[in-house]
Amino acid sequence: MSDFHESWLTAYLDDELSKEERRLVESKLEQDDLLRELLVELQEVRALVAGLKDERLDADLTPYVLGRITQVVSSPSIESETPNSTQLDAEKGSQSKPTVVLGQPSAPPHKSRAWLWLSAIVAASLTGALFYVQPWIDATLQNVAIKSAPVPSDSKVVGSMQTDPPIAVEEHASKMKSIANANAPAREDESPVKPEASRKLNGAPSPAAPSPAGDAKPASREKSSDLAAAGGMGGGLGANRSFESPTPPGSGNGPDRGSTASGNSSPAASRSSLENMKSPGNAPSFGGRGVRENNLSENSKKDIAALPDPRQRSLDSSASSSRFAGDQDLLPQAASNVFWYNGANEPQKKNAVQQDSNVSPEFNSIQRFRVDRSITNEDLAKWGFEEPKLNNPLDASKLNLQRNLLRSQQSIELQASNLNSQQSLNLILPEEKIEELKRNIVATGRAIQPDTENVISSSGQQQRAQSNATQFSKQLLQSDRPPPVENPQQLNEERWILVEINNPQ
Amino acid sequence: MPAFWGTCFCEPTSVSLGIQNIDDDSEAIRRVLAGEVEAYGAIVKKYQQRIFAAMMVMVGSREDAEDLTQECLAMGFRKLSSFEGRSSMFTWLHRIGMNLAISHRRKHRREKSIARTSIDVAENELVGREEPIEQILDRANDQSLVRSAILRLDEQQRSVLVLRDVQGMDYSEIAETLEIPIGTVRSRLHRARLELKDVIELLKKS
Repeated sequence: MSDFHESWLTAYLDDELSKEERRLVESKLEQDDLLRELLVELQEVRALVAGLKDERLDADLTPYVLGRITQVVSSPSIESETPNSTQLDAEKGSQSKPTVVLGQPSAPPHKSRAWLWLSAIVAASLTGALFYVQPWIDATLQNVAIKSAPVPSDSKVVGSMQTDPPIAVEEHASKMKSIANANAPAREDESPVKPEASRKLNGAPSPAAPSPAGDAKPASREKSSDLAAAGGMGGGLGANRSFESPTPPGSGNGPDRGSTASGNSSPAASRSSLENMKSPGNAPSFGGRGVRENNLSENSKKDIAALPDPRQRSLDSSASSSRFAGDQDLLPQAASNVFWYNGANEPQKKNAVQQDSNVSPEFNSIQRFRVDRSITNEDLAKWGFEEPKLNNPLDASKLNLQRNLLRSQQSIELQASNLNSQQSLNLILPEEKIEELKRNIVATGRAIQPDTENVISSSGQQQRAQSNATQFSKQLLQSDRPPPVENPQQLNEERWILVEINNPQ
Repeated sequence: MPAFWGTCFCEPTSVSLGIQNIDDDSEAIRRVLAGEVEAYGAIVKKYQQRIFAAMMVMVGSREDAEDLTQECLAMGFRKLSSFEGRSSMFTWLHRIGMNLAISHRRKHRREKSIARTSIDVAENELVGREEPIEQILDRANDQSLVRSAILRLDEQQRSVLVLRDVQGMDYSEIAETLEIPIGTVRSRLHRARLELKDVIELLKKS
C-alpha cells in the first residue's frame, strides 16, 4: 500500500480511490484536523465549479459546422484529401448528396510549389551554364582566328589552304617566305617537280603574278568562320586555294580564307561549322579544288583588307600551337612523321599545350598550306616545327582516328581526334603510302590498312586505330568517295604543310 | 473488424477504423465515413453543447467558445478517419477541444500579454482596478467570479478541472482525453482545486 498523499483528498471527494486508499484517507482525516479542513475547502471549490451554470449555445451550430465541412470538402485542397470520393459516389449512386471520403491527406500544396522552385533552379542552372559556355566558345573561336604574316612579293611560298586560316601563319608565312627565298633555287633544282608544274596542277598564278591586294591581309576569325561554315575543312568546302604569293612586303601572306562556299561570317555559323567538324561524319578534309587566291570574292577581299595588321599579332599566344607535315620529297627523313609546331622558342607554350590537351576541351583548326618545295626539313625545324611526341598531348587511348580523303587525291590525311579534348592530329602520309591508298581506294574502294598502322605505330594503339580505319572506310565509300584519279603522278607533285592550331583554353 | 468496413472504403489501408466503443455514434460515423457529410450533423447536435460548455470555462468568452466549438467539431470531421474507437466519441472530441482551447489561450495570451495565472498575478490584477471592490466581492459569489478564477489557472490544471467538474468525466476518461496517467490527473486536479480556492479567497478578500 502506497503512502498517503494530500492529493488523495481530491480523489476521495471524487470517489476515485480504492477501498484501501479510502480507508487510509478516512483514518488520516480522523487524526488530522487540518486535513479535514482542507477537505472541506476542496469540497467547496469542487461544488463551486460543479455548480457553474451551463452556458447554452445561442443557436444550433450544426449548419455552421456542416457548412464549414462542406466548404472545406469542396475546396480543391481538401478534395485532394478525398481521393475516393468519386468512386464512393459512383458506388452509392448519390450524386446529389455532398459526399466526402476521409483519407490520408494528399500532397500538400507546397509540394507543387516545390516543383516550381525545382524548375526555376534547373532553368537558372542552364542559364548559368550557357553563360559559362558562351565565353569559352567565343574564346575558342578567337583562338582559331587566323594570324597571317606579310610575305614579300618575291616569296616563293606557295600556299594552298582550304581552311580559314587560323594559322599561326603570321610567323609561319614569314618564315616560309624568308626560307623560301634563301633556299628556293637549290631546292627547285633538287625537286622532282618544278614549281611551275605544281602551279599548273593547281591552277595557281605565276609567282611573278601579283596577287590581289586583299590576299595580303590576314584572315579574320570571321573568315575562319566562313571557311568552317562552308563545310568546315571538309570535302564540301572546296575552298582550297593555292596561292603563290608575290604579295607586297608588309601586306601579309595570309592564308587563303577565300570562302567560296559561304560568305557568311556570323559567329553562329562559325560555331555551327566547328561543331560539325568535331563530329566524325563531318571530319574535315582538305580538298585540292579550292578557289584560287585571285578568285576571292570582293566581299572576302574587303574583309581581309579590313583585318588588322597581322604583324601585330603575336604567335606567342599561349593558346596556339601548330603542327604540320610535308611531302615526302620535302621532308625526306620524316616522310612518315607528323611535324608538330610547339613554338620552338616557347617551351612554356608547349607545356601549356600538352597540359591543356589533356584536361581541357579545345578545338583545333587545321590549316593546310602549300609550300614551295625549296623549303627544307631543316627550315621547318627552324620555324619551330618538330617531330611530334605522340605520347603527349595526344593520348593514344583517347584517339578516335578518322580519315579524311582529300577530294583532290593529292594526299591522304589521317586525323586523330581526341574526343575528350577535341584535339586532333593531322598527317600527310608518305607518297608511297598515298599511292598505295589511292590505288586501293580507286581500285577496291577500300582504305588500306598500312596508312593507319603508320600512324598507330607511333601512338601504340594499332588495334583501335584499325578498327576506326575500317569504320571510316565505310563512311568514305558512302559519302565522300573521291573521283577517279587520272594521273596519280601529278597528284604527288603537290606539296603541303598542315598546320594545326591548338587552342587550349 | 466492423462489418461495414468493406462498404466504406475502397482503400482499406487508408483508414484504420477499429471502432469498438462508438455505441450509438457508430451509425453516424459509418455514414460519414461512407461519404455522407450530413450524417455528421447528428454528431454535432449531440456534442456541441457539452463541448461549448467546456470551451466556455476554458476560454471564458462566448464568442471564442463558439468558434472553438465549431472548429472542434469540424476538425473532428476531418480527423474522423483516424478515430479508432478505442475511446468514446465524447472523449475524442473533447481531446480535440482541449487542445484547441489550450492553443487558443496560448495565442490569446501572447497577443494580450496575459500573465500566467497565480495568486500573485491575481492579486496584482485586483490592485488598482477601477471597479469597486464591493462589486468584485459580490461577483465572488457569482459564477463569473468562479469562471474568472478558473481562467487564472494554467491550461493543464484548468483542463483537468473542466473535464472533471464541468464535464463530469472520471479520472480514467480524463486521463484518456488528455493522454496522461491517472495519477497525474489526480495530482493535477488536486493542485487545480487548491489554486482555485486560493484565487477565490483572494478575490473575496480583495
